[in-house]
Amino acid sequence: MDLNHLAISLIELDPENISDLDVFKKSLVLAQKKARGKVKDILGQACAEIESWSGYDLESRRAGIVRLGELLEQAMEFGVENSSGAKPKNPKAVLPEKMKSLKFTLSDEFDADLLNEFIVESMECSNMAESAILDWEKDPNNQELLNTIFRGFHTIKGTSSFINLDCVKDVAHKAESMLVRVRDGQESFTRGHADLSLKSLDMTKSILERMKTSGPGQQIELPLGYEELLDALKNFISGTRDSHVNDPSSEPAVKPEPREKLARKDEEASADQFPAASSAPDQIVESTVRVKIDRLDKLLDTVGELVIAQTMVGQDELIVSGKHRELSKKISHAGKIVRELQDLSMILRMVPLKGTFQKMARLARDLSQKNGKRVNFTAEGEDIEIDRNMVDMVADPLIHLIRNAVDHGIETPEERRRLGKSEDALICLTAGHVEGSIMLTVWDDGRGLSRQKIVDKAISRGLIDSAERMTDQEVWQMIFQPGFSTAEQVTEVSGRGVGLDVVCQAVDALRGRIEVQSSEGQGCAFIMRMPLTMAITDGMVVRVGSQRYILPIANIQKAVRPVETDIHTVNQRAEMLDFRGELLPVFRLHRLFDITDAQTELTLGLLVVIGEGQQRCALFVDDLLSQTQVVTKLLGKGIDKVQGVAGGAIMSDGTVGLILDTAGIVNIARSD
Amino acid sequence: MKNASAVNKNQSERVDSRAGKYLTFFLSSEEYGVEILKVQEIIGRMPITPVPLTSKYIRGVINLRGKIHPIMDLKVKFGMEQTIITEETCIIVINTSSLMMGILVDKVSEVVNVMSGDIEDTPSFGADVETEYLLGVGKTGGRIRLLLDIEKVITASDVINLKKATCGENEAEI
Repeated sequence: MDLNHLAISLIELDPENISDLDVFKKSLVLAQKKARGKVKDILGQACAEIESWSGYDLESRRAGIVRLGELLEQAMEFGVENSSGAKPKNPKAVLPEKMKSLKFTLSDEFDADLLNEFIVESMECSNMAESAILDWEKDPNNQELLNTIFRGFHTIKGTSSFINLDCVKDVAHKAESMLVRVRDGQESFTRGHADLSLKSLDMTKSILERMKTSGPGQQIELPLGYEELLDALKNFISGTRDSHVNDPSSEPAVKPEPREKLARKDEEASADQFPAASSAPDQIVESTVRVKIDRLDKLLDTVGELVIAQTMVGQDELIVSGKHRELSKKISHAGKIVRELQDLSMILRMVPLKGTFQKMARLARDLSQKNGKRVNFTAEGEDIEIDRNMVDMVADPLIHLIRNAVDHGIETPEERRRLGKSEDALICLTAGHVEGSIMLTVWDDGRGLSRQKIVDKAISRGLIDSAERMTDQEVWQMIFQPGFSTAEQVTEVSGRGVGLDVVCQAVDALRGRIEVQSSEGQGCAFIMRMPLTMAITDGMVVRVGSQRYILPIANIQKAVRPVETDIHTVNQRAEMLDFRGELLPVFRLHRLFDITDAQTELTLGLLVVIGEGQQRCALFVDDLLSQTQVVTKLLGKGIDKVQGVAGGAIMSDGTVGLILDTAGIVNIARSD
Repeated sequence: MKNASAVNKNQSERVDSRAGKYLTFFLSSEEYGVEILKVQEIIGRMPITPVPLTSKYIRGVINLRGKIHPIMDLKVKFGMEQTIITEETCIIVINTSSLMMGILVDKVSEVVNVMSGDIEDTPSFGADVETEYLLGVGKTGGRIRLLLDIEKVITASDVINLKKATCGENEAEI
């Protein structure tokens, strides 16, 4: 066993499995005997290290593995200097990667469109394979999943060799070779298989990412650890297949010669051999068409215009007068179709949460492995669809919450055993529709929040004086305070609150709300509710003079027609509204926006209470006209960003209405 | 004299890029031209929604087939009186590589082909009259047409930086 091999088996070493440790120890001792010079010394240290483990508990063994990793790495570095022929590589994960960057030149035979197509397609394949690997870990006997993984690598290999992208092809090829024996039942699935497969996919994806920013004929830098991965794959294959090391012909699914030029042929040939593997995608993948997003947006704009035009026809005097009954009938029929078309066009923007959930599953897996925790991650509702613009925005808070759950919420396996819980912790991510909005829940059965710790923290930070009268819910809400979370004690002791203010901001940006439910020792759930789409704003149309504005309903708390006694003045200039015993500053929209033909008498207009907490104020407008649902649009590139205006919307009469940004308005008023 | 002819010579070498087809329009009594390639379309008057707290020369925004576009009052931009909307008022939608914007003009005139020989450099009037937006002066058919560097007009930093403009200018005027 050489050093490389040793290092790889170290990564796979399960600190809980004593017999594995013994095997590893033996090979280490053997390696030490064979080694010379400095390497021998270092390996000696490693032997001593492992020797001292006998009395160790699991946690210390884990730490010991890290130390061993460091020693091995040192040994390998010396190995490079001393031995001339062998070129040891650092395996990944435990050992820091060597800083080495390789270049790969993209073939210029193919145009950018084709490359793009390839990138998108391969990304899809990678994601498909990734999710299959994660599922496979739970259900290693599922042959269908195995085929999916296989197919993923196979397709990537085929297409990448078609466009002469050897760097991707080599990875896919090696990974495929590794898996072929598992698929044929000659080997059983191990964590090592899964790890390496995932790493291969990561590598493929990061190469694809890099390709996105470069065109045909250009050079891309291969990600760090590229060669290491290839070697790890190679070693893994030879390690697990003692007698067949150099006999690639024993892998029926893979063409033996990787430098095969006729890529298409290659693909077809193996497809013939495995009809089941290649024909299956049709059954699994729904048939979809990829459409450029700007075309989609244009379609939506046009449909929006059609709706307006239709409404205008419908409200034409000729029709409204009721004299032409046949015509009215036809027009209302056309109207129905137009509305249906509008509903359809809105659905076009929706994409399932599947991709996001898959990322989370991967995250939970990787994190729990790193932290030595055992987590059973389940996801429900991955078919729920949300607006595609929201997909990325949803991912951020989810990542934070899952990281929190694994890092802090979930106890170590020993602790869980002591507490009488199952060693496998549960993390559950669910999505569902509730009252026209979407609900995402991250639930774990870990420690839960400690009320006492949070209260203590809040008192020490001066946020509250005492928590006697606070409900649990109020206490939990405090963990979303900025700065509250980063405090050392809370993270270590009660184990919650890292970056939760970030989560809160992200949810705010999605116009959603977040709630916590927790019971100490039992677990904790974070519940996020957000609208299905960001594109549509529910708003009230307000009038100021001859101008109309849209005020988002989410920002409105109450609208009141004030009476004389509700209004108080300060210095004869500033005005205040007595709102249920609370004094709120009054800001006049017509003054802020310099509108001359507006109502100036407060008692003849309306005061709309907007904002939260410190920002709360009453905005003076002439009137509330109607409720509306509008699609938020940018004001066009010539106008950068107007303070107090969140965007524009096409109103039902075809003109542009401005959507107000209440926070911005308060800012203008305050800065005046 | 010698100097002048040298300048003239320089001009005739340079003008080539300025020659071409121009859409001409009137601002008050003056006739201006914009390169026809930068014009997307001409639309009649339509309701313009004013946007508060923007520069005075931003007249507002319009809905053009579902997309919102800002409208610039070119006369205000050039330091003249605000455009009064009449039957003849038009919006010329300019499409440059970076942005789309409508410009409000009193009247659209015609499309003319301006030869390089007909183009003269803009004379200098000192600091009072801004000529930086002019490519030159076209003289065809006995008429003077001021050829606009429209891209410069609509992308000039004071347009983009409205926030600054609102904080400084508008408040001072109110």
